[in-house]
Amino acid sequence: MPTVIAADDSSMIRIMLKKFLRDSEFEIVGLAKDGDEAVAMYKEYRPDIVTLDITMPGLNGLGALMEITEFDPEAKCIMLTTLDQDEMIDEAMQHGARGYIIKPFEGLQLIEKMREVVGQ
Amino acid sequence: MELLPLKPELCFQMIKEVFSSMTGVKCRLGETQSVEIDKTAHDLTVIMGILGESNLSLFVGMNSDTVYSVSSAILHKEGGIVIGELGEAELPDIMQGTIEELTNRMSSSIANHLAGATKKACEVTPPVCAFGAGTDPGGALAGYYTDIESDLGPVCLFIACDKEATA
Repeated sequence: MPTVIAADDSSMIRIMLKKFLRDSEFEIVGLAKDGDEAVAMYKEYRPDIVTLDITMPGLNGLGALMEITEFDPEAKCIMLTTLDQDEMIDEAMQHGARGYIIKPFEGLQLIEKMREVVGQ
Repeated sequence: MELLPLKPELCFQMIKEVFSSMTGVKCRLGETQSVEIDKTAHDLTVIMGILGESNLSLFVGMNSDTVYSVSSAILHKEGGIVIGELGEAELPDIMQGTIEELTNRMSSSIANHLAGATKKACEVTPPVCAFGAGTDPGGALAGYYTDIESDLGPVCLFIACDKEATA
């Protein structure tokens, strides 16, 4: 079963991610509230996939992406964001993000993106 | 100095569309007023900054009944989650997170339009929640005020900017 770490400062998004993935083939092994927690959890659990919100207090999603891909260039990260600005998305993709999803999103949309990225 | 490349009415309209989209509830905007405030008076005030070519702060205030009804509507619409089925202990955190997500999308909506208008990137600060009536926003502020009216309860909106901007 592919493992997942999800990072979002919003408890609403964290509870939704848990609900969406509960009946899927993915297993959440960590829920992080900010980028620092996400990086620490990645190093501990080495999950198959990471979802990162961009706007978070402390280390934001882009910062966490850079630290994770520096630690593990093969890391598979998907950005979740409300900011559908091309520059932000380009920057994330340049730093190794494998994909992105704009909020609001549906459970199936997330799972399909995760399947696509895990299969890469 | 202009407040924004966007009219405040347009900013409020974008906020209203986010609110309606996330809650699935029809709503309408009150009249936009140019005001000066030194305190907010709601059970919960969420404060966000939008930084870039134009800097402004967005204040969203609501009472506790509205926090509950708005959170409930959003959780059900976006996640199929029934708020009554959540644990009592985790409820305050989830309701706060839901309101933060709502306000984050409101400010992101304005930031995206601003970025489009100015052709320069805008940043949105994470939402900060202030509890209790009489929250001091950090000195007297000038800006624009209105409210969103719906069956979920009133949601008060205030966009703050430099005093000179509204002179």
